[in-house]
Amino acid sequence: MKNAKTRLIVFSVTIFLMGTGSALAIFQQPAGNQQSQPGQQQGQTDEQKKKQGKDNQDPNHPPAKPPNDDSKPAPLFGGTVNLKSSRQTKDSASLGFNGVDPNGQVAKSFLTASPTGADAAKAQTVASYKVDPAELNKFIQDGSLNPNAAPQKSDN
Amino acid sequence: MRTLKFTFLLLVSGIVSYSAHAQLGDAIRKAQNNASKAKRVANIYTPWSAEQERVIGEASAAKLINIFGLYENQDMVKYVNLVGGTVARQAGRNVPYHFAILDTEVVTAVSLPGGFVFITRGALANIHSESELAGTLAHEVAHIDRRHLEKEIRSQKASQFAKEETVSRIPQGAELVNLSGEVIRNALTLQVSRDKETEADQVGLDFSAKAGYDAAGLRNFLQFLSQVPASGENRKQLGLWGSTHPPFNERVATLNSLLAKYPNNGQLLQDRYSWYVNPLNFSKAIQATAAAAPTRAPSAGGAELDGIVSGGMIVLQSGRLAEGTKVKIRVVE
Repeated sequence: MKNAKTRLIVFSVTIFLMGTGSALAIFQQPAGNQQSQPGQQQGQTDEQKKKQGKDNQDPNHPPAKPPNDDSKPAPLFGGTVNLKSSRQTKDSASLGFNGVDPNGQVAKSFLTASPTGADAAKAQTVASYKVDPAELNKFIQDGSLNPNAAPQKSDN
Repeated sequence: MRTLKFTFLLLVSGIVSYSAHAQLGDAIRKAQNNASKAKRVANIYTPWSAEQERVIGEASAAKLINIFGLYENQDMVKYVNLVGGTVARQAGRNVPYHFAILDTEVVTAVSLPGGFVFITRGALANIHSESELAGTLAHEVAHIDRRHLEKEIRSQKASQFAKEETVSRIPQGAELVNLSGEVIRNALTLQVSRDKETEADQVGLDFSAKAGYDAAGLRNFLQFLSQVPASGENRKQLGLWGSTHPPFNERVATLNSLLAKYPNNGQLLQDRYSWYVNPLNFSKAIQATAAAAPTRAPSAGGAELDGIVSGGMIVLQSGRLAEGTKVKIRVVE
């Protein structure tokens, strides 16, 4: 009888310790989840992260509202003014809308296309273009603009 | 009795061990949290070096030129660089800015890392003054000054380069191609976060006002665009800007509230804009004729030059006359 009692106590303690182990395992789970959070947040903008605010510290709590809620596109047009076209002659008509679909979005095929050597050379030309500082000063002076530049700041 | 004692000891040690584990778990969790936070901050805000910016910007510029083409009218390119250079002088970060014109009717402006700012032929055709151009370019300069696109790319971590922390190497080969593709995809298809757009509007307004331009330049241009009806051709021209920026009306409202802080004595420079950006300059056919024509000596008495009235000024079809040259006008039609 005494033996049975002892066995019962030992059994109870064992069960208790097993329960403690499980509780600890569950307790540590969120830390593991948090570690993988940055990967899951791929594609989020700073703004979305800011919106989530304190929720960032507890990844198990989703943000109060969907992150893209605010960026829902509002109507773009609404007035009566017509845009001017810079095409003045038939000769330049073919240069109108290369790369864009009827909604003005850049076609996927253009986004994935690789630039040619000529494109790279043109980019280099753009990069090497320099305005003569004396000419810039005269331009600023002619337009009665501010001749003083802002002080350079350390890189952020 | 011995068994009971043993059980009691076991129980006590279990409780002590639980408490120790709980405390240890807490400490580990805190450390993991801090490490994770620090890693996120490092990934987003470790800036690219000037050389990395230049290489990535130039490769991205080549891709952008591949899509739209480059408009190479020398006078207009110089003018855009002069206006851009004037506002960029008010930006504090030491970046070599390069301004260029994309050969498309699409109305937009794009900035890339490394100081590359592109405005389109379509945008120039619908801008009415130098202050509007300055405001538009200043907005793009502000994006570069605050490294907005770079931060977006780094936070998305879509490429290996963007995932790395404090990288010092220069991307090249396939990696550079992928990275520039990522930059252009972001610039042309995704909306930069709303707070960054608002910051660029605010900072850009400040740059153009400090440069001496009418602070309302960008507001005026956006207000004009907001009044455009949604016809097919207009949609084609404005769709890109609409998909990568907040709605015009919202930005106009924000700019209106900011404008109250600025004096109303900046330069509009409508005439100078019309002098540089005029219908003749947009015409490929006339450009070609002008390029082929021999330069006429402005001092040669009796020389007949063709021109057109644009923006209240006479714009010559070919070449320029020196300041102070006396002319007699004969109206043809």
